[in-house]
Amino acid sequence: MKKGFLILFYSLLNSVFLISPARSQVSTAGDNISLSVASLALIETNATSISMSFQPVSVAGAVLSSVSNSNLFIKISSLVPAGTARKVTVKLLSGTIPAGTQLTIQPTASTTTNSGGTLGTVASSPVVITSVDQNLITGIGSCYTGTGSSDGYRMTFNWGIVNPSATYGQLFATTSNPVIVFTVTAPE
Amino acid sequence: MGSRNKISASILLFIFGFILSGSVFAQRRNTAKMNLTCNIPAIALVDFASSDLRTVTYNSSLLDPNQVEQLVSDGATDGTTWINYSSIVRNGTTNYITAEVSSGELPGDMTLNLYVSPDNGEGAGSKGTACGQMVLTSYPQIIISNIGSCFTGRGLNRGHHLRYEWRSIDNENVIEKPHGNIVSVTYTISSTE
Repeated sequence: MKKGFLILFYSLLNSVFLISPARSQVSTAGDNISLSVASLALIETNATSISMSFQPVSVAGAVLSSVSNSNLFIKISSLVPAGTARKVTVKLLSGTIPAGTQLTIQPTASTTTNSGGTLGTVASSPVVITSVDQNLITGIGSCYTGTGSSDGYRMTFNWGIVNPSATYGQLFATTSNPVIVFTVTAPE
Repeated sequence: MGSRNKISASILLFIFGFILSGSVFAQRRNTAKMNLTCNIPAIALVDFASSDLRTVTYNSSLLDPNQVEQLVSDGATDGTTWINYSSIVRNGTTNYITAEVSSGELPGDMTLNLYVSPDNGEGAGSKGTACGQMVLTSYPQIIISNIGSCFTGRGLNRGHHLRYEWRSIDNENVIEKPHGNIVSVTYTISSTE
C-alpha cells in the first residue's frame, strides 16, 4: 500500500518536472498565486419555533395585555466584497397574524462574546411583520456572531392588539401558525 | 490487488468529497424559517362594580369567575351598580349573560324587576345588547346577548347599568320597602358554543 502511494507520488512529481519546459533555461521562476475569498452569507437561529399566547384576563372588564418573547437569537456569518454590505430582513412567509393583532420584532445588537467584524446596525424601533421584507439589520460587512445558542442578535417579539377601540371586535379565540422568514441579503 | 482497489476507492472518495464540499459552499443558506404559534384563548368573565353597599352587596369569590351574585334588599337600588365583562369568542359564536333569582324567596305579592341599560361606551369591541327591562325569576333569562370579543372597562360607569325595582304583582306600583326581603340574583356569562 505504501509502495503504491510512493510510486504514484514520484510519477506525479516526474510528470510535473518533465512537462515544465522552462526548467533548465531560467534561474528564477514566478507563479501567479491566486488567493480567493468567496463571498459568504449564512444565517441560522437558535430555535425553530416560537409560541406566544395572550394570558386570559383575571378581572372582568379588563383588556387583553400584549405578550412578548425574547427567546430567539439570529446567528450569521458574512463575507462581503469591499465596499458592499448585507442586510437581514424579515417577512411573513405563510399563514396569517390573527386579525386585530399586530406582531412586531425588535432586534438588539449582536452579543460580543464570540463575535467579530462589522456586525451592522439594528433597527432602532420595532418592525411590524408583514408579507413584505423589511430591514432588521443593515450595514453588515464581513463578520461572524458566534455559534452558541445565545450568540448573535437577540430578537424580541411583541404581539398585541393594534388599536383596541377599532379592532377589538375582530379578535377571535383561535390558534394560528404563521411562518416568518429571515433573509441575509446579497451584498450591495 | 485488494490494497490497490482500496487505494483507488479512497482516492475516488476524496475526489467526491471535494466536489460535495464545493457544492455545499455554493448553496449558501441565506434564509432561516421560523414557525410561530399565536394563541388567543376564549374568555368570559363577569363582575360588578358598585358603591351602593347599603342595598346591594356582591361576592364573586365563592362562585366561578364567570358567575357573580348580588344581594338585593330594601327597595330599589339607587343606580350605582354596573356590570362589567371581558369576552373573547371563537369565530361564529357569542357570549351572553343571564340573570336568575338564586336564593331567597320572592314575596308572593310582588315581583323583582331588573333594568339593564345599553353599554355605556367605555372599553372596546363588540359589546352585547341589553334586554332593557326583565321580571326576574328563578330560571336564568338572558339579559345581555350577542356579546362578541370586547371589554367594558372596570368600575363604575363602565359596562351596563343595573337597576332593581320591587313592584306589585300586577307590575303597576313600585314598592319602596318589601318588608326586609333579601334575594340573591346570580349573573352568569356563557357561550353559545
